[in-house]
Amino acid sequence: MKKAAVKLLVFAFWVLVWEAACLAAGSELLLPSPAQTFLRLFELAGTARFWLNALMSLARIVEGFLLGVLAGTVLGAAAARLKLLHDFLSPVINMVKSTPVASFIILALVWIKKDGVPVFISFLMVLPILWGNVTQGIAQTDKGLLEMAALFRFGRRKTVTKVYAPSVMPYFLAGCTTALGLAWKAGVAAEVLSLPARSIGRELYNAKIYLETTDLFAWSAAVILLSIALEKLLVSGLKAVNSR
Amino acid sequence: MPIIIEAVTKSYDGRKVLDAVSATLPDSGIVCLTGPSGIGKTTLARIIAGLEKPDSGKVSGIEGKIISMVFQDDRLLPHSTVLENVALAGGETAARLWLEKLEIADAAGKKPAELSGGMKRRAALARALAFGGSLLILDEPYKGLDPALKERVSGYIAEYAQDKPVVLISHDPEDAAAAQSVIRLAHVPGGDG
Repeated sequence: MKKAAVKLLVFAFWVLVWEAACLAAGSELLLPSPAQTFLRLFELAGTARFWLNALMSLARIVEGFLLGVLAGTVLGAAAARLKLLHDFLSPVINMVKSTPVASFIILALVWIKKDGVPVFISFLMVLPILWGNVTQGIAQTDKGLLEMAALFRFGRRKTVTKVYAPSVMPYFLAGCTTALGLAWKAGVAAEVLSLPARSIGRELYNAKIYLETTDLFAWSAAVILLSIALEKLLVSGLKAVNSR
Repeated sequence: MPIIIEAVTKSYDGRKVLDAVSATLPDSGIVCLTGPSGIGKTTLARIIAGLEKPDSGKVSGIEGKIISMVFQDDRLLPHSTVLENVALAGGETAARLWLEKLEIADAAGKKPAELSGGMKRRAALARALAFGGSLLILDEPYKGLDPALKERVSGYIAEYAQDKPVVLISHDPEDAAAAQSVIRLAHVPGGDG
């Protein structure tokens, strides 16, 4: 209760700061007020277009995220077992991590259809994080427990499910949470540059073109709210799987 | 076939822990591996179990043997219940039997973090006994057990040792006195263990 009250007070404080900045700017075009933004968001949320665009963006980003989780987990697990594979893939993973996302978006625009660009970019953002976390989780698995599992002849399946999986799960969960936020941001940025037909990115781009700053803020708020909702859904889903 | 330890030497970071240790384990009965702390008892037990390689010397006669062990630390899976921990090694029927015998059946559904030190030790012992095997290695299995319980548990181990060799690591002179044979490790000259 106390925690919620503190959160609410902090939120209220920053909304007041936003309101003050808006009054100082004196123009909705430069900086719309919180009230204008949330009103516009409610207006948009009442339209089918809003939900269609949000769902299409969500579908693209979640697709890239899931592919990245799958590839990162499989490659991370394989690399933890085979040092040669780890050494072979590490430079590529490090290159992906340190290259600006804008470079990849522009390259992807040349390589693939515009609908696939946000999927590809989300995938690229997620892959190195999951790779790193899964590799680390496997490396941190208790050697004593592995020795015990070998002595008592657990076999591969039981060793993976009973020894490795519980050790890797916290790293996997942390990786998924971090990667999801990044996939959202990079995926929407990719949409802004690739402009798929139905997307939040296109709406953000249009708002910029037509100087609809309130729309820009409202769509950005929608991205933040969807990101929080998705993260909460993911965390509770993974925790439910983990507790079984 | 007896297990023969021949001139086993082992060093860690330049410190000699075992120096040309030789011994023969009988086909059955309890062999007490004793000596002061840090003398290399656990190291020798791990070499017998094939978990570590000696720097020189060899252990013969363990080929084809199924080894069961209570490790120095309990090594229970933290996310699994006591029953799961034991059943993963020895199957559910044997697990329930040994949990009952070692008076820990009430804690079968608990996770290791919920257990006392003595209960964890019994769970680890139940796992080793449920697994069975043709050589049982027990590293301080009575740690945390009260004298009455220790007596009952040692009875089960003696029963087990009737037709199989059991290597029992212990500081307790009573355990050495009760064993069929004793390997007493002494300080290695030049080593600080």
